[in-house]
Amino acid sequence: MNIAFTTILLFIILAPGFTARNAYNSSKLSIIDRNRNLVNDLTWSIIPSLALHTFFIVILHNTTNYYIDFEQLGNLILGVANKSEASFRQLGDYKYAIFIYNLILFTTSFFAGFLIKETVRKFNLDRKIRYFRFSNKWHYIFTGECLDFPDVPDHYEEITDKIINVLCKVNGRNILYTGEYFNYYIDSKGDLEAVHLRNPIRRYLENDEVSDQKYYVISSRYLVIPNSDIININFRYLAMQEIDEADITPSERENIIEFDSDQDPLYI
Amino acid sequence: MSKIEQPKEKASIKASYRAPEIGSGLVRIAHKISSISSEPQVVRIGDRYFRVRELG
Repeated sequence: MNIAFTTILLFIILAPGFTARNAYNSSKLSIIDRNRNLVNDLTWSIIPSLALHTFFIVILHNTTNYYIDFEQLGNLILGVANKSEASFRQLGDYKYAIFIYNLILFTTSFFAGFLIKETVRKFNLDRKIRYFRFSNKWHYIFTGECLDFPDVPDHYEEITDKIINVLCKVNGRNILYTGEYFNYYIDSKGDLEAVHLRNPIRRYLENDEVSDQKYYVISSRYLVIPNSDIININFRYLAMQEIDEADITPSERENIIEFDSDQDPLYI
Repeated sequence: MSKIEQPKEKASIKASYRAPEIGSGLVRIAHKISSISSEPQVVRIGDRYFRVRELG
């Protein structure tokens, strides 16, 4: 028996944990590095695999006439020369039972990982408890779910609008782009690649006073800004509720902020 | 004869969208909304009124 067979056998034993972890990390909440280290992944799969195998062995031993022959399994893993023939003969005798056991185990592992992820999301455990937080930190920032982190006032569910200011350096000049959040893109390492804005406007940062006629309205509904140009990003999470004019109090009426679509379409 | 199925799911998503003028208007006046105050402010976009509060 050679090392390759032992490696394949170990991989099959660790596969349930590997499958469960992949299913858990299958959403956009997790960073999936295509160049990841397989040995590292398998190492992290040991404990989930042990748990799943234990669970299945208990079910198998208590509900069927089959059982796991650990002596033969140990012979196969360790490559005991004088017993390998008998072990392989036994594998041949029970090949269909072993195949079906593993098929059910792998399928259950996939759905277990998926269901655990869904449970964490359903009960917002990733927002409340740092340990459950997924690896893509940008998701919590761009969606505003970071409002549900401990010690942060207000709640994610209150958000109706997200306004983003992106400070960029273009041709040596600092430009502030403002728009509604539309989407964001990350690379395989989880670094920000680009920000996608809706209804973008811009102004040069040299004009840093808050004044009218300084913002240029970009004649496009969507704008993508690559991360290579970005210096920093400012996020504003807003709760916006439509009201009747009669509901406005006198003090609110004094400080009302107005925008007329009839005004200059290029500059505001 | 064949029946052309209408994309029902798309219609329900579309219904949740707001008029683009509101979003565009909000972007253009966002810099006037105070980040310091926790009190809501009233904004008028076109002929519609909104009470806006910055969260966080």
